[in-house]
Amino acid sequence: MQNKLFFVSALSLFFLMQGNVNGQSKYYDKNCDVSFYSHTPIEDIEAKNTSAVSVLDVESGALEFAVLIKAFEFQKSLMQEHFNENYMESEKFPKATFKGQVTNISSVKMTTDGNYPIEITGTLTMHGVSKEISTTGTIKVSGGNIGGRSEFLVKPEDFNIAIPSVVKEKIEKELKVTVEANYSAYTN
Amino acid sequence: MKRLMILTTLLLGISLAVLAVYFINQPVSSLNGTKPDFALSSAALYGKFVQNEDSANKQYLGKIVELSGKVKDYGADENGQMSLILEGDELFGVNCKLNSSGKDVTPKIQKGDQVKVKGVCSGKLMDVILVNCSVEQG
Repeated sequence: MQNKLFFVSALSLFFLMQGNVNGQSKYYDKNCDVSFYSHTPIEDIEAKNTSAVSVLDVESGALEFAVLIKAFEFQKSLMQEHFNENYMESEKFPKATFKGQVTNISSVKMTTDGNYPIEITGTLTMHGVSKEISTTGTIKVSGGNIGGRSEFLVKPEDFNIAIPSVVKEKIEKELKVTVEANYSAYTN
Repeated sequence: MKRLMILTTLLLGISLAVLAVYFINQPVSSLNGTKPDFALSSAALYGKFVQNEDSANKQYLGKIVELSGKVKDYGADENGQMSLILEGDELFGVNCKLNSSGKDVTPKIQKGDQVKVKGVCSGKLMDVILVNCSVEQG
């Protein structure tokens, strides 16, 4: 019990340090999947990260994600190196975060199984730049488990990520980012 | 003589192009046989990140780290990727995301086992995260 209380305090502290999540009924996942994909006739680029952290407050709708840039894994070694060193400058900006809100959380019945469409707005911060984004997603309630999924597009130029002209043809102007979480409940 | 020079230049050009394609398409390699930049206990690495994250990032981010520590937990995610959580403090630790060799190794591992794991340090969220990990010693 003492361990559990300490865990909840530490988890809250972690997100207070990152930003702010209010209220009760928080759910968390510390192994969220975040991936991005780019398709051009020349090359497909895909990277996966399976260690992102998220907290969802099912009462207030507050939603947060944090992801380590260096934990994105690519198929090709050179792509991974360029992503970290040239584009994301991951030593200077090791994390990306999202802090926002599921604006229609009241329409999700956490006690009734089903797929619920959700709307999300918030601030995405990466590469030292913060930008407001809005997207849609799904919350899946199944047997007491809560899963979340969302896809959205990110333009590298919006985050001051310069793509050299020599590789511009190989990278889509907007990358598709997919986020998936399987939340576990904790109470405080 | 001229024909020989053209042929040599052509062969050289083709060889360079093949080498370039080979280099560009190199997969992310396993760290097997790679000398680690640092070797320390999982609790010590975790402690350094807790104590001063900025300084630990400067020292360990992107570096190959060999950790020794007790297995707190292990499991597979929805995609089948195995990970080991090595001891840090009471709540959190070092989450080692195993490479494809993980499936062969993890059935032999149990909670409380002392292991050596090598991987690339990616920073800290709740746990410190290591990716592309291989178990050096179970």
